[in-house]
Amino acid sequence: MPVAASIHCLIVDDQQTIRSLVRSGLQELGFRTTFEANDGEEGLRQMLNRPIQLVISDYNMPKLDGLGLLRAVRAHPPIQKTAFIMLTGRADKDLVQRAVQFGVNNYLVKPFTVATLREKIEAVFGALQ
Amino acid sequence: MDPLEAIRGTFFQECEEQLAELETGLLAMENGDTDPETINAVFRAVHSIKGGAGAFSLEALIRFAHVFETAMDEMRSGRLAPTDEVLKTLLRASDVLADLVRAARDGDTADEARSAAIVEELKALGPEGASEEAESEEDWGDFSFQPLSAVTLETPAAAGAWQVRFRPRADLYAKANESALLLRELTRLGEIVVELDDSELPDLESLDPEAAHLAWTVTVTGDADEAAIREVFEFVDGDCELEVTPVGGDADAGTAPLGDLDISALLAELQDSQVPVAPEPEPEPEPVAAAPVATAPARAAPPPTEAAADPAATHRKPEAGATIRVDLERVDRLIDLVGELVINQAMLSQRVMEAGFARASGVAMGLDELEQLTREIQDSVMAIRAQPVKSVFQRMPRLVREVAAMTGKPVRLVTEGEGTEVDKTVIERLADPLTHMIRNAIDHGLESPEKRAEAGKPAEGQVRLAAAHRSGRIVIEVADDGAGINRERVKQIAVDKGLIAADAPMSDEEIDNLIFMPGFSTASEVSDISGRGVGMDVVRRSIQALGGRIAISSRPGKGSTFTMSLPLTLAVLDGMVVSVEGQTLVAPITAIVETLLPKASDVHSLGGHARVIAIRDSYVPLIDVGMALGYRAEPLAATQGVALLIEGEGGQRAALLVDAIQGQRQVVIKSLEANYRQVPGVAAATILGDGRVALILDIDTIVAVSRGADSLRAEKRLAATG
Repeated sequence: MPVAASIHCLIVDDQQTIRSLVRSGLQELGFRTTFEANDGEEGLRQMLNRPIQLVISDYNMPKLDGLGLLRAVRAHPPIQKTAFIMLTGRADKDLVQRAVQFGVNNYLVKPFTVATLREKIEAVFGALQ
Repeated sequence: MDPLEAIRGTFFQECEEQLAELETGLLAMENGDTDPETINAVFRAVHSIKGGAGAFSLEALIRFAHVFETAMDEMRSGRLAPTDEVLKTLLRASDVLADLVRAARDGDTADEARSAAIVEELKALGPEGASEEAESEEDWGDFSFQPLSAVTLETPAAAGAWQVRFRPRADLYAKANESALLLRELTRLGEIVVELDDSELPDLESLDPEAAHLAWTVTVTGDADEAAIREVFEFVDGDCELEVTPVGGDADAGTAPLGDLDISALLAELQDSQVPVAPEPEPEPEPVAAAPVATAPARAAPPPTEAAADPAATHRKPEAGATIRVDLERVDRLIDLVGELVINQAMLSQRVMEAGFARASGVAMGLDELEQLTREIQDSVMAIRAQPVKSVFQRMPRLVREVAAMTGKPVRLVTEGEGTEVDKTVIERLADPLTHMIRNAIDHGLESPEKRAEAGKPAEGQVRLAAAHRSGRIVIEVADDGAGINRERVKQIAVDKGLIAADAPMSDEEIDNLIFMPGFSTASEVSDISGRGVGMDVVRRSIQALGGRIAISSRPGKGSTFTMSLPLTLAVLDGMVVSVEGQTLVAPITAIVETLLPKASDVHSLGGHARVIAIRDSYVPLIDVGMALGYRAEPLAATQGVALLIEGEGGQRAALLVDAIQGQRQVVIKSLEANYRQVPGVAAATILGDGRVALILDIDTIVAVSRGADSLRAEKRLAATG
């Protein structure tokens, strides 16, 4: 089984548009199992109830934002090793730096191309095929 | 469809939601809301629009949203105070953003000069030297990202392991289920390790062969998710205790069921730090992820005994407010089909009655049930089409801002009952009349600030837009606190335009109603705002086309109120089926106050064919429907028919004389206009149980014949079609 197909990915964003774009990109890269959540809290709930290997999460969301989700994930042993890629709306160096402090595995600036998406995921998991 | 095209569609739909949120947030801030979450929600709305626009390379939109976002960021970080002045600029910016979104969607170009002007204003709010371009990530250097060494991709088994605790109850065996088969079924989902718990197995002497004594703990390793595991036990749900918990990759995870984890506690642990986390964790979060809605009903009602054993399952419920988007065409097709079903059911009932079945026969009773069900289906389907009026109300603040700016009158818009639901088509067709009425209210209704000051009123005028359900209809009011209708001038204009005779005796109410006459315009000069050759007559016609009525009440110096009453749906109607000169007609029940058999002594002739009937203490015009529609040339003797006492929106009463009443029935409305043409006096048509077409009466037009200044004209119109 190609690597991509074995990675269960959770997409967390309050915008359906962005979730769909990420999902469509992931499918193009061979991902088969993707889940979606509307905000950090819902994302966290999903992670506690199904095995997830990769989280691609937006930063600015209602309820629990991306950094909060990242911190919650890293603080909770059963899920703390999940790969985490932060989506940012603007090229915000400070934000990425803070995310790095909390153990983010990579970041992705919107808008992104499928090639960039692949690049960022491969930077975490190694070659996808 | 190209997936990207579909996502683009989603984007524009979402933009509408975000624009609404943006405006709501800004208006809340204008009213003094300083909650950081409100400011952040506004920021997020702009930010999201920009983000989505980036994905589709909508340059004009991205550029504008970027400047807007920068200004919002300033406010979010406390560097820009939300003063009235600033909020007015932001509100105008939100209007331009809405224009740009729609231009991008429709492939048009928006008003560039206007957007450029706002960009300058926004930039003035932002930090000095803010650029219109997003900053680049090129010169960031390297970050040391967390390496993935710890992520256990190679052993997905550990991540995908589940622990299943299964304890059958005696009922399970009594229903001929077999534990072994269920356990074997689990092997289908992956590798399993089974552990038997026989600690409750009694001695052979005290063993009850009918009871259940064994329990199993099964570790399932594989790709299966929780739903798949629970599905195996679906048929024994309620006859066993079942716990399904994920087994994490860590050693300590196996013992702690994650499903029970209190998310708010986890979030609370994070509260101390400077990092923003959820400000208000829900007091009782559902411990289990929002399960796909489809799987939820199977466990919707677990037996109470299971509650303690399996909190995860008992708390599971569909996510509150879960929605789906459905093509409107599909809903309309469903409504059409249900309409046909109603007609068909009526026809079937009639045939069964004709065939001589007794009322108490099984067939007739089955049909009664069918009728009940059909009605319920119909109501449910109609409810799908119902929407809160909010979608049209929320367009009005912008209109008010624009008209206020053009007229130089400060205006405050108050809306009430935004959640009132009505058919989507009604909502869509309300937008134009409401727009027009609100323009009128500000332009003609409200006085200038100086005049208001003279009258001792606050300088800021008020326009109130309210919706409410009242006796099966929706009532919408547009009210202003202006000068009220200037009856002297209205009457003078009507006389000047030859609409009424100079010496016509008219009540205040009749004068107020003159503004609904075709060609009437009270604006002394045609203004840009409300004078577009379209008057209140067009408003009235569009409301009538929806099966509604409009009335005005006005008090000098206090203001005017327009009241519209509309049906909740355009698809069905409760009707009184009557016969007139061998024709079958339907009168809407909502208009009928009572029915009565006229006595000769109560009916008085006023000369010609005009008659009145005494009903208790008052006289009301008696209108022969057969004459009004041209079915007969000589009026029916009042004693040979039945009178329907009806009441119009303005409280005016009349009695409609028909030959006989056949009964009450719910009828499906078929537009006459779409299938034939508009006929005065007839609102629509329907198909009856026996397959014949019946016309639905337009009560208001028929009543207009009997009263008011336009009775003559209407009478001629009616006669011409007869």
